[in-house]
Amino acid sequence: MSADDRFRGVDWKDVLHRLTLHSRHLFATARAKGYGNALARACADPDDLARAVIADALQNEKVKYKPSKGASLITFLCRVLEDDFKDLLRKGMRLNRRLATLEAASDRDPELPAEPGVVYELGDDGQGGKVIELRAFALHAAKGSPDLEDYVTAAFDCGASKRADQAELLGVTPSAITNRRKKFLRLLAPDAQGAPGDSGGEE
Amino acid sequence: MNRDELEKDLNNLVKDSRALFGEVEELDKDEVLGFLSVSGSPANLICDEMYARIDALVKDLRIKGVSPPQRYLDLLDQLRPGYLIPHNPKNLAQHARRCVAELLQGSVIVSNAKLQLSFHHKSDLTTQDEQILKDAEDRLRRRIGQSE
Repeated sequence: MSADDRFRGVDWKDVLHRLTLHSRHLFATARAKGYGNALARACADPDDLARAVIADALQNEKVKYKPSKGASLITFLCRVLEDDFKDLLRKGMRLNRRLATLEAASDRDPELPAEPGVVYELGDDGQGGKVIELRAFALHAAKGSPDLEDYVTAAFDCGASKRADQAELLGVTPSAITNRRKKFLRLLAPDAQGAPGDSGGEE
Repeated sequence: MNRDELEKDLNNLVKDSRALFGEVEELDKDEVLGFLSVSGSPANLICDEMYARIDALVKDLRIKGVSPPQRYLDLLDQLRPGYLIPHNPKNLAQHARRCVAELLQGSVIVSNAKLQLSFHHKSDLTTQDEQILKDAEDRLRRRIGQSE
């Protein structure tokens, strides 16, 4: 089967939108868990990563996606995006370590312009930072809102991963679950003003 | 953090992200647009940038004398911004149909009627009413975001 046949009839707009959203989810999660500096050093942007995954899939003549086996293109590309995202974080972490070695004897020049998204108050070598559990971060971001706290409990403690299961567990409509997820994305998204992820170090 | 710990944490990160935000596959198209509009660039800008990227690839192929594969052209047809008119008559017809369909969007008309009827001669708002207002607000924000 040719690459053209594999991608025949694909709704590219929908694929792009969903992939971009998945990428934003991953970036928001990574920043909440303390990987903000690694992402900034890897010069990574969630929307650009999603575009790169689609462009690479189009360019690859031997892409391992087979619609004849009933596979969803979105599911396939989401897995590819997750792997690329982890590669970006590894690259960012390597750069952090390298910069720490190069700059061990000298402080950063305060006159230099700040790199976007990089936190300088805490070291990148793990001395001042630690890996943060997303569940704890989400509860902190919820700021005591019972709806959001209940949602975190359902998502992390009760093993309800599907929206319908979470809605049933909490006795609310699926659209209420969607709204709570949206609130969390707003709280954790890199572009959100005053997001809790705006400060903090990393390992 | 050693290499094994990092790998474990990266796997947990993906798992946690799915736990908190859910799977994008289970959302409908309108919900996806709503999520995009609250978390960064709106959907139309995302499409424009993807279009520009693939358009540059296609132009590069043509400069090299290579005919671009159909999958590239399909993507360009679907993501072409409204202000860019295709030269090919077949693509032009498809583009016009898509533009008209987006303008008429049946779901928006139905939801507007629901909104008007729900609040006709009504004083106290129920939880369901507030949800309808919230949904209308989200739709409006998305449309404003798309028109900017």
